Amino acid sequence: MMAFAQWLQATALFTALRESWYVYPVVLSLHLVAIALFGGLIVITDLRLLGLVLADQPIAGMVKGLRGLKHMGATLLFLCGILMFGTKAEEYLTNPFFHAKMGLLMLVGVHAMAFRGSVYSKAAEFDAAGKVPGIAKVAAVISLLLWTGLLIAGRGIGYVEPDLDRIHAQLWLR
Amino acid sequence: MEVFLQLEAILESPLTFPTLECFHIAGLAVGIGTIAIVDFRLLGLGLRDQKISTLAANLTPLTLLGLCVTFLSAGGLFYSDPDLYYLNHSFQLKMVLLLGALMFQFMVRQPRALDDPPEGSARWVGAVSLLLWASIVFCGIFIGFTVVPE
Repeated sequence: MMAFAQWLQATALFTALRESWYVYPVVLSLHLVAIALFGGLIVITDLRLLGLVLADQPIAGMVKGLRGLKHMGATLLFLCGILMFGTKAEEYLTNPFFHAKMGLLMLVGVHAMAFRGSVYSKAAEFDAAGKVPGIAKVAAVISLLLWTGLLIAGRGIGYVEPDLDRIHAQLWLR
Repeated sequence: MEVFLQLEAILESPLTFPTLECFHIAGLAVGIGTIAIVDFRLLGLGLRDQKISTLAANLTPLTLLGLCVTFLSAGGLFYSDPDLYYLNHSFQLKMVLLLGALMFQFMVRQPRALDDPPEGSARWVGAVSLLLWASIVFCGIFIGFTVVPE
């Protein structure tokens, strides 16, 4: 894994990105712009399931209407994330907050799969019944917690300075 | 006096700055995020089944809540080292853009959105709003990469 990280960040593309003074802050800015402009979509969907906002609007329409924008936001987030990872791959790979973030990201995937059948594809039934079942509210709360965790882990990454000399020495000794 | 000493201790804790940053980002995700939902709708994207005015009216409390959290946490971040900010060109540009974005939001965008403009007729309003808020986020990140003149 570390060998891959070192190869990745040594490629011409990521070396050029790392050596430019403005590419990293621009990519980081785009990452934050994606959070600012698209993060609200998740918050709104979850709060709607909890009945806290737009309570008189059908859930099915909201889930369907926001899907395209959510995909746009996720794509932008991921592209920026991959570019940032590539420029400093070995630093990220040894950063505990990065590990936490990747773990939480996997849980977001598990969450989507776990609740797709019981919540997100059943939105029209909730609208017809005029009532949101408990499981949908549980899904919404877990979603909000996971994304809050992702935010905290993401911010934490910048506060850890990995001991690269030690890492390099270990690799060399091996 | 006691209160100030306690405040001082809180501000000096190493966890304070990153915690405030997290609130700042969470606040902007809610505040700017809900503004953006209406802007996207003005552009013909997203919640097209809902009336523009319905969205604009119903999302306003969340927008204000989010912006309040963002501003309050920003106060704490600024107070941690004012010299680092007010002399910083990215910060100065950010404040100008913020003033512009807030004026545009409350004097142009929100009245237009509540007025339910005909489909597609107010695209420019949504686009200007999104660009203003995105540029503010850009400036925010660049504060940390801008050298403050001595």
